[in-house]
Amino acid sequence: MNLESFLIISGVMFSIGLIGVLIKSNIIAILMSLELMLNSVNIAAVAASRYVTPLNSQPEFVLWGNLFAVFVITIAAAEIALGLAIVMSLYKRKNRIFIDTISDLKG
Amino acid sequence: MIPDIIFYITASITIISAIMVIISRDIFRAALFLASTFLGVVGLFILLFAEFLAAVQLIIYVGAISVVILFAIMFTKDVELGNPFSKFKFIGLFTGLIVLSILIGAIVSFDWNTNFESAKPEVLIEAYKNSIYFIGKTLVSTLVVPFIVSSFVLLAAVLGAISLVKEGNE
Repeated sequence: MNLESFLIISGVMFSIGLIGVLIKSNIIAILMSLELMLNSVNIAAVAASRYVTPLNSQPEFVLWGNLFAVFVITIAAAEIALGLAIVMSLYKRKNRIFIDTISDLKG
Repeated sequence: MIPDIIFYITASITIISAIMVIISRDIFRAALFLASTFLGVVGLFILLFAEFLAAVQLIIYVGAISVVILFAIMFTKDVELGNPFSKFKFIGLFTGLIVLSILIGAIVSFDWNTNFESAKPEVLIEAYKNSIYFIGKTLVSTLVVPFIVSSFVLLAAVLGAISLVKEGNE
């Protein structure tokens, strides 16, 4: 249990989320994979601030990674609320939530 | 020794649930595996001495976001159509595996020297003992501008979500 193992978990989870975003066709599944990616970034930030601390730092700067993760969680909550609202709106208009059938912006 | 065992168990729960999220045929089961992944991340946060983040993760992700996703799945009736792959699946898998190999290669080959002379032990102990106090103090002193901006981001997201959902009703 050291910094590398946490970073490897974070990297694997980020790649799984990226694969999910790229290969899924259901919009809700894409949003779920996006949540995986945001969570993996939190793990990396917290692990880095746990194992690497600046010299002669004040106690509040030791927890900088936790503060970074708090803001990431805020943005993730905003993103999932907006994303699911867009999904509901699309479902009302088109009755479909698969990205293969949504091509209104295609030139 | 015992933290290592707990770490391996938590890490394998997290990774296996994350893989099940994207290979599961049923989107409802994928959402339940997503909640299990979030629980694994809670365990990792506790192992990293981030109790505040573990509580926030448990309340916001496991308690709120998973439930909202489950509601969205149940409101849209495409559940029985499953969770198919799009037509870009091979390109997407290839890209993801390339990114995975780059990340793992960079992490393994870099020399993470975490044994250098770090902050004083008493500073570290004080910081991790009173972590919630220091997080709150920093949020309203040093980081007060990002804090206020993030509250406006949340307000804008809520207003946008309400207007998007209301639009279809008229």
